[in-house]
Amino acid sequence: MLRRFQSIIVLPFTAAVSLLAHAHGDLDVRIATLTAQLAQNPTNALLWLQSADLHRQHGETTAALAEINQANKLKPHWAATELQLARIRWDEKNFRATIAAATACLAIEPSAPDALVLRARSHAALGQLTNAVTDLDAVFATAAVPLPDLYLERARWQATLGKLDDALRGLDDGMKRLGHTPSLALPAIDFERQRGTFTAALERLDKARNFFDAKSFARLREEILAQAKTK
Amino acid sequence: MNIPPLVCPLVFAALLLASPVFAALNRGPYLQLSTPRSIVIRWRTDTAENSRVIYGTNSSALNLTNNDATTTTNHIVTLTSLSPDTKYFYSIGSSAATLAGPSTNHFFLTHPLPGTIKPLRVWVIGDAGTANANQIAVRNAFETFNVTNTLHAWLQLGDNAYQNGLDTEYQTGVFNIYTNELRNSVTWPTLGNHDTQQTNYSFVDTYPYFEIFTLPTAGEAGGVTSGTEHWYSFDLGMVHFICLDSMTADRATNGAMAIWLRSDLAVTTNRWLIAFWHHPPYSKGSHDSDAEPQLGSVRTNFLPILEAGGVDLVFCGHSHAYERSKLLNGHYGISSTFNAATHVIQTGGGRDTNGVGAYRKPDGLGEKPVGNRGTIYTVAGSSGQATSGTVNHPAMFYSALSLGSVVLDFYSNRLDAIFLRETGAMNDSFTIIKEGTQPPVLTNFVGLPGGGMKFTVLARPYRTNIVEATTNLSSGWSALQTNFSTNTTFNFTNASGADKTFYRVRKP
Repeated sequence: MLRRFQSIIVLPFTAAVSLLAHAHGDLDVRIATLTAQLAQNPTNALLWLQSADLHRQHGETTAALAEINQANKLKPHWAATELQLARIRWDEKNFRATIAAATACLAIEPSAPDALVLRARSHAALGQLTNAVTDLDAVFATAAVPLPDLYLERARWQATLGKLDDALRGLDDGMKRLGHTPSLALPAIDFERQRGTFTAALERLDKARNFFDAKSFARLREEILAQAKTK
Repeated sequence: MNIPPLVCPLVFAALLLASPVFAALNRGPYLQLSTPRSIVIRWRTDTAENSRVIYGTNSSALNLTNNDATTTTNHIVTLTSLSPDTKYFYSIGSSAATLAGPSTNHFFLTHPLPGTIKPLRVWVIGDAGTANANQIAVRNAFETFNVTNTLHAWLQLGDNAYQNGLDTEYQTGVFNIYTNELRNSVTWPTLGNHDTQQTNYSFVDTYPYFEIFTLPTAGEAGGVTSGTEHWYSFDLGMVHFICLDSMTADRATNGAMAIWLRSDLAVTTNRWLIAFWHHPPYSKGSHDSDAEPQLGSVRTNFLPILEAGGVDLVFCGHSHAYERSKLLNGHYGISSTFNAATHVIQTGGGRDTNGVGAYRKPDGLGEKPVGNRGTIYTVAGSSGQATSGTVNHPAMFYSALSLGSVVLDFYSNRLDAIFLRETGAMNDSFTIIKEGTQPPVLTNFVGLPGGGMKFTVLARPYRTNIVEATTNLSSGWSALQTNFSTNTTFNFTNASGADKTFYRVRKP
């Protein structure tokens, strides 16, 4: 049951970083442990990157960026550093900087899915939905079995762009690959209603009957019928 | 006969070359994805070979065989067309040799049909995979406690194999430790941070976890199709289990997991609802639910859905402690906002003494569960280590930095839970009793002057009831009173011109 989400960059990065991550517990303890390791091995770029990630999780952006710089000095043009920087910028809600860092990562590893997803979400946050969709398209192109969240995200962006046909096509593609899940089937009903295709909405609702209790199903059906009458 | 000295070693070498070399078993067998009609049996061998499972209900005369001609080291065999709630014995191997079983120690039990009322035992471990003496002590305490009772299922709450969830770490932290449990009962895991190589929040299926476990994606074991192994649900008789991914999935209220969860809760009609994931919504153990965003987002976004859906128990790990809440509803903020007066549904610890003290909740069997009647949140992340923390979250009834696991026993409308220490001591326990299964009743009829009728409805607790009347038993029922849920006395006057009126009470 291997499901390969083709990742060139993420696995080496995480495997390398994770080898050095021993402490669990709270983040303070983990940071302290890693700081001690860094004191003994200050030229290890992986350790600096790991420490940067812990500071990021702790919300300590300045410290995280300082350690990213250290990693960058020790190992320039490293995709993992750019990806980590993109994560920090994303947490800061600095979406332009996230895009820049993700783009730098993708320049080194063009199909890195995490960088594509971060860049897509940053584009979306900036209202650049066409770019966002393009980046997720690239993720789908490299993923053997993409996951429901990404199908839903892309469809919502497409719907916002007014491309309801594309949104529905994408959800249907997702259901072909993942099965008839409410995560995709129920948003598809909403998109049909937005599109004004109420017969199709009712057909989708009937197919999704086992995702509702009887009352909710009947209520939604009445809503769609009432909506259809007003159009 | 004289044999030249050189010939013996040559003959021996020739025999060695001619002898078939059988694969050796280096993992399992372990059971996965049990349903009333099917189960998956997995094992791993050192060299690739085909797969064969021989099975049957009589341990001394196994009469069924499932062959898979594909040569592999990672064997996954699905047995189908099984009978529900039935004990099967089995052996595994290949067309060339048997690797394990058959014996009375190699068996599995298919799930009872959803809604079936029968006693069930479930074991819950969290953050267990340290592969050290702590983990073994917790396991031994359970095995001593359980003796030979049937273990129907066991949950792993994430961080199943330290440090990074690598396949080799699963071998030492899971497969080498829980050999007995894996062979005879199905484990249902969730993703922890240490199962995803710690710093990797990627929502992907490339972690070894997904290679090791076979989990439902299409509602195979009950519940609604998830489309992913990251979150899933399954039915075990009268218990519905829900597994969420608090590690890598979108935790937004309109995300794919939340949409699925609402549907899954909407359609289940089982008596008991149990949810589990890794990051606890309430904890002051080695992780602080006030400070860490992952813990907070689950609490804020998912607890309202779960509580509205009638979930009885939630199990999480992550904090290496045991923390068990009061019977809660509606607390979604940080610990300083906790107010027992508004957030505790029923006071006390739920400890049943001579029939008094258990938590009581409305029954949901065969109907939609009643929401917002209380949920118990348990952090059970000390099955491999008990580390640090103040363990003083005000939502908790009992907290301890102690090694242990949780054992759940379901008896029809009663659930007993214990925190089983590694010493064998039981340091916490609670009981939930589901009530309100009786139908509504009309009683105390008194005729009124003018042909009316006075009577009392003994309502179904927690649920709405409808009183209806008709002058013709075969049709024409109309509602006189709807949506009441407490015992109520009514005075009704016969319909105009009718010489008799019939009354009835029913659920909506």
